[in-house]
Amino acid sequence: MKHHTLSTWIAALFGGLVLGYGSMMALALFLPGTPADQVLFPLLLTPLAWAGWSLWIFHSPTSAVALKKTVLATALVGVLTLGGYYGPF
Amino acid sequence: MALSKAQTRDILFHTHAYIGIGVTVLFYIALFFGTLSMVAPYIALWEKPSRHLSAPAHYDIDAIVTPLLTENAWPEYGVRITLPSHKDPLLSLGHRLMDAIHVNPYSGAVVKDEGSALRDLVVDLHLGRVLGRPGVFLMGVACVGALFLILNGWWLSFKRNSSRAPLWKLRPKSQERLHRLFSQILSPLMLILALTSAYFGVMFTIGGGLAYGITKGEATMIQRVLGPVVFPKVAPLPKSDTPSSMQSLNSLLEKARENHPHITIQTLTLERWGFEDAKVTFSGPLTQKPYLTERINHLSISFKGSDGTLVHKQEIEEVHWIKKALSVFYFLHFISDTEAFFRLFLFVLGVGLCVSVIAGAWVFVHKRLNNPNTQGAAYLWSLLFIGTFLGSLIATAVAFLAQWLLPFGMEERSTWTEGLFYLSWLATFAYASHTRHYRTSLWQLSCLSGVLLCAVPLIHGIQSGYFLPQALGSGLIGIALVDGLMGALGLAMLFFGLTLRRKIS
Repeated sequence: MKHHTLSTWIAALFGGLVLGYGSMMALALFLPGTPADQVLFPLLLTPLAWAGWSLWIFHSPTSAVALKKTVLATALVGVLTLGGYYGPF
Repeated sequence: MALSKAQTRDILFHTHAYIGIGVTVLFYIALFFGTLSMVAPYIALWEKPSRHLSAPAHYDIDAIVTPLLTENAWPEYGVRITLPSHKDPLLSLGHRLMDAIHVNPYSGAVVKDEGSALRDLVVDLHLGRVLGRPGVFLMGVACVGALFLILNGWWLSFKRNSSRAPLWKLRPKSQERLHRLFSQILSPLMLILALTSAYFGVMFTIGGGLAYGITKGEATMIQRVLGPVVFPKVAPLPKSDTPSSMQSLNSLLEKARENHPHITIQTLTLERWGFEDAKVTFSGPLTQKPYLTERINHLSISFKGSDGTLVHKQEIEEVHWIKKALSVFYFLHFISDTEAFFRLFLFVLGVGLCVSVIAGAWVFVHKRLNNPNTQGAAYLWSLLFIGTFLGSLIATAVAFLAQWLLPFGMEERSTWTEGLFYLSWLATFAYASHTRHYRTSLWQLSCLSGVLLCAVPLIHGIQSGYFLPQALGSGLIGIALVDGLMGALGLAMLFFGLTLRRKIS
């Protein structure tokens, strides 16, 4: 199997950052309590989420799959974040 | 498209190797100086002749503080008295806008502070503060890389296929065995340290988006969201400009200890001292649960200065859960209110983590050195790693030696110490690239670092009069600990260097 291409690396590192940040933002928006209550643990877990999403994107057989995973996950996290931001919570 | 077990392992293995190699230098620097920072308060004692005394059990605060309060013009609020402790045997009086005054609690004499150049150097390198705010952020990013390596490493261990030798069948003392052994044992600790480092280094910088989202645009900095909860404003007493006689601080301290027996009082904060509305606040961590009351969450008890009536007593139950959680995060990383034995324990674990990182880097280099196609690049990597790993040790030893060899009255002494530190580090890189084979420079520089580190306690003993046995005999545990650790590291490096030399020859 070929090693990862540059596009997989970019997707994993920057996509991981966007997804890690976005998913923790979505989590925070759905948590109950004051802004301080909502933000503390997502803030702590964001670096771990970044690392986790990157690992998940790397775990792709081709760069096309890696990009597809990144785009789909970003879309999902984006919808959740916007839902949390504009939603009734 | 599903990946086979071999493909998964291949992906995990290569990403582990390349991300690992990308963050190794920065992460090792954070880790090595972080390990030294475990004993940072004791380094601050070790480097100053004025701190070569044990903390007294009894002292007269009034006799020390009252003249200093009247002789100097202090601000009305926030005058801070730090009591003698194992971290500093001197009593100090200060304010965030003024230089602190340090007093010998035995004699009552004001002591000129020599500064904490070594401690600051070690801590700044650990945090990346030597490069300013970008440096702290970079260290945080390196820690995110380390988190990736931990997750990846766990998955890799889980997915290891049958063709890969299990840990116990690897050649004894091989780099891979060392890396896997130390990493697997110490990965929970590394996870905690890397997570809290990334939190402090990265998230306080890029957390603005989270703050903006959560507050619907009201706050753009995370500090704005957490600040009011972590540092709630305390209402001052009704203001009165009538001068009044003050209660004795000694008796108020006794009263504070009786009323709040579960805290170890470390500081006193004076407000409008000398007036009718004066207040003194005694604060410190819980003696039994220091992790809940780290330095951002010290509990306190306040009295009116004029008549000694109780103003407020803060119990741990009253504290907001966020402050307790933050306190735990701080404790997991900074271990501020812990004693020498716990620090020593964490220092040993920190050395284990350093060994794990070094062995991991060496697995990468060693495999490529044996392959003719990758030999050239691997040689350069080996130089970089020798310069980083051994250079940090040599430079640290040189800075510690310079601390006791340079005259104490010297102009810009800390600049010279820092200059020697960085020069010796650069010299290590230069020497490593000068030798033809990396193994030669490896054993030579290991022996050199061993000799220099072993010389640290000797030079300190000759110059200060406190060799390890004397320091232990005088109850200077912190100073003895620094001497002992430097000597032990030196002996370990000498042993490693000589063993390597024997193998090569």
